[in-house]
Amino acid sequence: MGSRWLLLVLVLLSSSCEGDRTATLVFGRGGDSVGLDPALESDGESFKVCDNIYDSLVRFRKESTDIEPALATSWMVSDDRLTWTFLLREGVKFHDGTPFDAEAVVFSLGRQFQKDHPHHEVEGAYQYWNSMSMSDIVKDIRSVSPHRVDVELHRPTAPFLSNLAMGFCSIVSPTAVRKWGEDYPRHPVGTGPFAFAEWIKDDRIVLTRNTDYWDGVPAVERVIFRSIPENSVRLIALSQGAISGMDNLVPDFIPNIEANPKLKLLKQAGMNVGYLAMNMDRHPFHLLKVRRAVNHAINKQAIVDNLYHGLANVAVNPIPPTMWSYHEGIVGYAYDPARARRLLAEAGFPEGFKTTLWAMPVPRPYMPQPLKLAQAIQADLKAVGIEAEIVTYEWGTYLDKVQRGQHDMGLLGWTGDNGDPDNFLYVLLDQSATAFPANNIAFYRSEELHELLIQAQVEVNVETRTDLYRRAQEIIHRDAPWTPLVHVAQTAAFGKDVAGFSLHPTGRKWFKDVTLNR
Amino acid sequence: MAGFVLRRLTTIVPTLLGITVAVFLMVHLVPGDPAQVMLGERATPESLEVLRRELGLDQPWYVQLGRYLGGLASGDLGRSIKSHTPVSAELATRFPATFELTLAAMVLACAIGLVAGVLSATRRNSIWDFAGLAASLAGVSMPIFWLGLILILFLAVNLGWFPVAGRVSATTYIEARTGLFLIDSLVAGNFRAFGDVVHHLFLPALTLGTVPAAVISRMTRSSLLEVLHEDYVRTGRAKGLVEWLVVLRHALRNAFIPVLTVISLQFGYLLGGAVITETIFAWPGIGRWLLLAVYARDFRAIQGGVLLVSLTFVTINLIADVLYAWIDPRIKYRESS
Repeated sequence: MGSRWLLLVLVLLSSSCEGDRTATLVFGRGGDSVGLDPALESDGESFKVCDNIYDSLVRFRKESTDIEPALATSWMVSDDRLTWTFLLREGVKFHDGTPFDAEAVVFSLGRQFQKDHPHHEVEGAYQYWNSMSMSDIVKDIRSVSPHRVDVELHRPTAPFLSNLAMGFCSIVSPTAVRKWGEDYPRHPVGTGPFAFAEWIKDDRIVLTRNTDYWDGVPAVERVIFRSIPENSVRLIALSQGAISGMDNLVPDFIPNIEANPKLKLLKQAGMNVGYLAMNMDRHPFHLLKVRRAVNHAINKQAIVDNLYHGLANVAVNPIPPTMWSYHEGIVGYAYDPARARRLLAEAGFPEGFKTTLWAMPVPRPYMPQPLKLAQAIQADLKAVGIEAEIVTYEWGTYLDKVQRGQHDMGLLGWTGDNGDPDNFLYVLLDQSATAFPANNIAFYRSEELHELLIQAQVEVNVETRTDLYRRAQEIIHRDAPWTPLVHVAQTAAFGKDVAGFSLHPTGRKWFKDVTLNR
Repeated sequence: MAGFVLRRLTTIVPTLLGITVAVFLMVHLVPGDPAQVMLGERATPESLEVLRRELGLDQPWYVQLGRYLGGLASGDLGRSIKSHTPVSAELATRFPATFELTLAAMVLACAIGLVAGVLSATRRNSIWDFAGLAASLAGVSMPIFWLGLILILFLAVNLGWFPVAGRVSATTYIEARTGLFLIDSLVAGNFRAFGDVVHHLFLPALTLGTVPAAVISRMTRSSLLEVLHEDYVRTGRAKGLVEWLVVLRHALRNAFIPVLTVISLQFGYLLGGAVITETIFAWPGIGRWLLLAVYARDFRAIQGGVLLVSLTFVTINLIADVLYAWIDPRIKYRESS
């Protein structure tokens, strides 16, 4: 009796809700955004929404990290490579009606580094600008005419253009920032394909389409980002049709999704790396033979098969194979325990040695099961005589300690930002990155590598840079400061009725071209 | 009575102050620097230093505590260091969500618990009694995350009766006035939305209400059994009252004091502790928000959240104390004590 009543309610509800769904894309995700000011945020869930509200001067081409025009229609570099001139798109308006012009560009970028800018002083400010060292790159930015902006650099820096395509360089409406001040992150205004409409914390963010969008009007009327923290519940919501798409699938879901005729799975090599760093400041990892022995001892293929369920590629180089300049010629250290034992004996450890293996306590995009991964490596190392005790700390403490170099061997990883090899090799392996908080947690210091990486930063020609980065990869392979473990695939699942969405190597999600066929 | 309430109200202030200081110290003693957690793998020495200075973390702890208490005195909970939103604004959207869920869970729990308790006590050692015992044992010992997922599996996935996530469907719009969607949808005269809210509320409320239902039923049973042997109950029966009237009007009223204590404690406990239910059902409430704040070392959010939960807890206890006197006229709060 009760159930019949419930069924009746359900039927009534479902029939009444059906009507407006065709125009609304509901995207399910694991958590809410922190804020929607692209210059202030640092988490993926915030950028996922920002990317659909804002444009930047240049953007990444679909499914590649090549740069193409966006709010800037063209650009040129001066002969000394210090001044970049951008010509801006005309007739573009922000969602609040403010015209887009050079002043908006100077405002959006200028507030992130000009100390006298009226909106420079914001709590928790400009983390990405700082972490991409933009203040060391950009000296000044000037509006030359309403549709021309000049950016002056401290030193010639090739990755600068790629940085401009990143979320933190999005152009915001100066009117809105002035109006809302510290509350702007909850009232975002951009020029992008969708305009901000509503935000219920931890529940949903609603965007409506920008019918004046300069690059074509989006097909869906509304995009709703819905927070559903529990992974399996999110998948159930997708199967039930309560949401039309989701990301961050756990490997266990893959067979389930592939078997469901109503769903489709998207998969692409991700721009990331998960690695084991050997601390070269500590005994015995200063010895090359020991580091090579560890490389030979670890069965990476078994790790990919068993812990990533095939949703990853075995890593050979620090940069992923989807990135330009990736060195195909380098053959990874083969899984060969006998050879590892031989190398250890040659290094003076015929009986092996005792050490620690540090693993983070929380799943990261590049390492969904860090402790299990550590156990697998522990077993592999034990087989060649290395007794590694697993050490873990709460995430913030873990980062702090490994960045101070308190570990012997440590697991960590990196997700690329701007598609430039510099963003992996210089950030993670250059000797300058060994100062606290070190990103180079192998504490690998190679003058030879440093010179190549600096040269590649200054050089603008992509072919020359490719050559430099290939040589850098050879040096890193030779010195073996890491055991590169995996490049994790990025995944998303959608209902069969959703078309026009493609994954991007940077992991960013744009919904402008999505259509719903119902 | 008024004097009692006043005196209790004045003790709330030092209680909350003590809690605030204790939480402040705990948060600052736990290892892990919020700036480090926020910047993660991307931290540079400069960005860490800048952020620490902005957050006031470069100051000694007593200066930070003093600043916080100063802000508190003027009603300012500060801004969340993670979202830069005023903590009061963060609480304003989330607290009603948790409150509505807790209220619904307690209504379900009281309905189920009281009926089961009365049935068990009046039909002692019958099949009803044993069934009640088995059900409540299962109820208190079942892990909530498991129960939630099992309910989802059967009632939402297999039978398809209920939605699994959120307070309303993604496409339902309810203008927040009180933040309690049941009330807001009715005030707006939107009955379809009201149905949607009830539909979404049922599974999480049932999940959250299971443990209290079991506890309430046990307490009702034992308390009622004691009272059923009292003289006045026998007198009631002797003067020819029908059994249900004896039980409900005379016995239950007297047996209700310990039950009320349990209910108020459970209510307060659920308000701050619905983390798991909120996570499973994507309920945008205060429990999960607090948990994430702890992970992020967002100390201003933690302090503000714990303060509000404590305040509610203390208030509920006070209400329960007042209700004691109302239910049992023998209880009097003397002005002098």
